[in-house]
Amino acid sequence: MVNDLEPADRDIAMVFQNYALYPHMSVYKNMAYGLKIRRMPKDEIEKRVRNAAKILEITEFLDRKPRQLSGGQRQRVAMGRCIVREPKVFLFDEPLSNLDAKLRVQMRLEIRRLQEDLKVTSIFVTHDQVEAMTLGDRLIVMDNGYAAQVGSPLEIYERPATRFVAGFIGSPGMNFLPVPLSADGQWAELPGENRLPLQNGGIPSHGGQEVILGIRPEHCDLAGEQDGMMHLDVDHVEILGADTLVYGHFGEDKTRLTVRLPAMHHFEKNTILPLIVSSKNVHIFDKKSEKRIEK
Amino acid sequence: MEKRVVFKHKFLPYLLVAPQIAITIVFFIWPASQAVYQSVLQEDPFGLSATFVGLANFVDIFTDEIYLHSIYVTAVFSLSVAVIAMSVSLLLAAMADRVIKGATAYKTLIIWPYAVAPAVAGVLWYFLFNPTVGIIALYMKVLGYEWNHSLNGGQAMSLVVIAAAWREISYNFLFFLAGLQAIPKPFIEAAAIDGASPLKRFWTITFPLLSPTAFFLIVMNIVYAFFDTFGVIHVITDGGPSNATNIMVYKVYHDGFLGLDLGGSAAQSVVLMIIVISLTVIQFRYIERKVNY
Repeated sequence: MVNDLEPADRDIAMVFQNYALYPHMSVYKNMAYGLKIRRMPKDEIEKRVRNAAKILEITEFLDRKPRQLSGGQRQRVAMGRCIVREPKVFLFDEPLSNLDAKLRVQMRLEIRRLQEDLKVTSIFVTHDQVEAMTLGDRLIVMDNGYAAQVGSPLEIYERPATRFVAGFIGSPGMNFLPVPLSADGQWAELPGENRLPLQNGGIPSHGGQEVILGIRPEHCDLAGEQDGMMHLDVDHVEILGADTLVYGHFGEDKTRLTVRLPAMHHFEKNTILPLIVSSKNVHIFDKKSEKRIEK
Repeated sequence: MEKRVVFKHKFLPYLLVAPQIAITIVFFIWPASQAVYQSVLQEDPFGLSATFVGLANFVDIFTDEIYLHSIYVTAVFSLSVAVIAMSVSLLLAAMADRVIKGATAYKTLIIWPYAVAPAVAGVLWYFLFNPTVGIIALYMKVLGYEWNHSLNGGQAMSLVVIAAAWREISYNFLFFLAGLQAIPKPFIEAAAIDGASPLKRFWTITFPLLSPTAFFLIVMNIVYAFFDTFGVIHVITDGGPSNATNIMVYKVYHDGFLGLDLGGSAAQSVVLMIIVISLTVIQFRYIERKVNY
């Protein structure tokens, strides 16, 4: 427990959101500051800083002041300041949020590579789910100060523990439909009077109750006219190149649904699309507690 | 797109800047030029005749030991005022920056002395330290220290320095506090994680980031000590004992209005004018280019 320790005694290093590089010190001094405070011999400091600068490819900037650096370079210096300390834990506080999109992707890869090389435990706080999915070995999804779920990124994607986690991971977000279950819990009644049979013997414990059905946009597929479960009335289409996002509604109470279809599609507004969803890909949550109901 | 405001009326713009110009002319340009003019004249005490003497007045004051002593006194006085006022206010501001409860009341109290006129501040301190009725002088006597600033030059200097610095502390406090509050907290947190103690953090991170404020205040404090402390000196010591607190601006008044040496006094004020102009130049040049991180 580090609760009673001063920050200095916790053997941690932190990359701040705005980097917090000391503006009046050169890059070299910024990186050497923590070591100097700890009274490390000069030649050892020099060695560590040079080494970290080499890893991060910032050797040529060592004499510059932070304000003379670009965002990506500052980011590296902030990481260099942590590396030289050789701490037990790295803390990253949304370090990529101040960078532009292209640089963010690049730095994301570099952080991952660096972390694998240095093998130092790192805690990375982010709002960006792509960062969370790609950087994390283990993911903790925080909801209002509570850890809603802890697990590997794939685990969280495939088996979200609550409705919050399910809606948070994945882009565009998961569709949530309130649906009634049959009395024996073997199937769910979709809007538009179609039945979705549930796998693995259904959920008899919730038979006859209303539950929340979660369907990821990427798990809906186009179907033939006859076997469509949901007949989506298209409102709006976003063509992203590799795939297409279709926004629309279906059923009597106009349940909204977002669908991601692979490849280019062009749909006119008000086209009716027959869609199917595989029952192995649906998630079911309790209506009250919003917790996952295991099948 | 032409975005500037264009006055159609030819006369109006001049009318609008006229008050400012008039004030500058009446209260600055005119007296200043009079001072320069008089500094090259030798006038009799009754103001009946004047002769042009060139730079003789300047030669006179710079060979006058009392004047050279006055320059020395001024240097000691203004440096002491600046150092004391700045260090105390920095300490107060650093502490006020950490106060959360009652911070507004605390800050208001510290700012109050600035509302007191220099002469009134002088009177306050004069009474506190008065050898006959002053309460501080009394306590010092109890502790076995004889205080009499009308006899002891060193004590007189200490007293005017305290009285002058006291008021300036409020002014410096405001700027230091604003400066401290403008420093982003992550810098301090980063230094804490790097292992710096609070004192070390202050000297290696906070203070360097405050340096533009500090430099501005050094110049402001020296200008204040040079000119605005006339009232304090006048009320407390009259420049005495034996010129121990006779700073340059007081000597201008003393020689001109009491000694009626108008030419010499004018020459002294020209010297002061040159000093304040160079201080201003230093401030504008240096503060904007060099103190920059």
